Amino acid sequence: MIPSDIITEILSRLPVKPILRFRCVSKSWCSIIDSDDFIQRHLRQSITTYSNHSIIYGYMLTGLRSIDVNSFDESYAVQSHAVQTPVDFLTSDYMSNSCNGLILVSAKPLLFLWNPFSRRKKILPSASTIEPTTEHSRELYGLGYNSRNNDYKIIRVVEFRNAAQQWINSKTEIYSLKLNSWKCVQSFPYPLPLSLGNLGIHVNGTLHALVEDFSLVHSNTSIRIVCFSVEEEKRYELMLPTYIPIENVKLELHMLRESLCLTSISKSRVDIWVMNGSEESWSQLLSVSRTMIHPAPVPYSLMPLAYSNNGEVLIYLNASFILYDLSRNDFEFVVVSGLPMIVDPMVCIQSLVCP
Amino acid sequence: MSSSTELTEKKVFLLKSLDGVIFEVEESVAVQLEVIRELIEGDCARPFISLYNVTSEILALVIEYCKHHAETCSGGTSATIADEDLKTFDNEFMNVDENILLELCSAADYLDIKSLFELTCRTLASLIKDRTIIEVRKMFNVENDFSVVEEKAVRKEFAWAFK
Repeated sequence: MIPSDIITEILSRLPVKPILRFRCVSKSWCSIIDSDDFIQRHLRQSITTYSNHSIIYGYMLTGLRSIDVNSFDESYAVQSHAVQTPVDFLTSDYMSNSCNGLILVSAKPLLFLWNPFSRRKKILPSASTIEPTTEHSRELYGLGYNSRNNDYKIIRVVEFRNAAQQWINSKTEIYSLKLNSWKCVQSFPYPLPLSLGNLGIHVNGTLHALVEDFSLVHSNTSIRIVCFSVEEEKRYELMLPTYIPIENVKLELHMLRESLCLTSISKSRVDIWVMNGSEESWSQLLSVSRTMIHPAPVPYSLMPLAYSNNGEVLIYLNASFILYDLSRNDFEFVVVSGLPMIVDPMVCIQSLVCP
Repeated sequence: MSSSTELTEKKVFLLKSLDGVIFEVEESVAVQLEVIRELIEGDCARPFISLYNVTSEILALVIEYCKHHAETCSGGTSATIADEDLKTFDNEFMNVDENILLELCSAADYLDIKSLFELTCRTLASLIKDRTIIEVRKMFNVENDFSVVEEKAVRKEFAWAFK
């Protein structure tokens, strides 16, 4: 007989699908797999070995697809798979960032947490009465994790704008999965830039967003990174890289292997910066002329997603994927079978975490 | 350097398997077994160590693995070549019967050899990834203690995972 801690170690190195199948092996295997300890161990194993990571893209309405990040290690032609959506969507939908394999989905009037790889979902109570009042106003969600008490939290920011699209104010609410309830917190004192509808760059228990301080709009410090610590529910700011130009530049925040990442696209150049977590300092990952990566005029959409095993950076570029070789400063396009049109990609861990 | 340093005796340890076979290993190999390294560091290592949970067949393999890893790491080759060499060796080393693999995994756990434990766990995981429930039960010698009704119910919870 193999001791159960060895069984646990072997199972924690498997993808989600066979693990769920092996619940049928015996009662003891089933209770190992369903335990919180195993779910956490499997998640940690996937994060530390950078395995079980997928890229999910598309819309719920038209079909979501996923690609295993490891498949980019082997070839420049990868296979995509259909992702089963949890309900039939007839309305427009919104997907938040992913966090430990969970995604928040808003498909009005439903709001739910969803694990696309275990296909489990939980319908959440609706947020309190704050609703956007004009068509220019909007709501945004960020999903974060508090490792201290193993709780997931949703930050909801509702922005109110007038008919001229000028920002009036924002209201903020927080949902805790443990408490299964919403509460209002100190509101978000900045407008979220319209072009970057993302509140959810989640790195290490902190949500990040780029904001613009309108009182300083013509100074070099008007763009900031606002961070929200999920555990303490506190807000603070991070510095942009020094000397980074912010005028006539499109800035965006992303995440690259558990590190915060900043892309800057100007008329002439494309730069990618990565945050060194412990020192909170930026280092430049790549800096190339814009035409070298893509000759197309605006719009220009670029998103670093992952590293391949060979150290190349997987980048989403105008509806395609490229693998960028940093040492040779050259790149290759990746051919995706299945649904070739790629929109809104995000990296999601295949985990067993229960919503 | 005088020739006397070359003559310094290499420390050896005698490891006795469950079935009484004695293996002589050098210190550089023995310290890869975390259990023995701890004994050495605590100055409690006797030259003769009995390993009650490991058969001679498995212990021979474990020593082969540790020897190769010790030699490659101290061989003075560049890190990338050593890395490649270890990868090739590990791949070939894992090319054994699956019962041996399971025993190697248990032995690596008992002797606390982290790299071998990781290697065997990963190999076993990829072996069972596409296997059926019945095949996995047989391989791990697990008795099915579900009733027919219970098993059907558990299966139904994630029926899609069987497709």
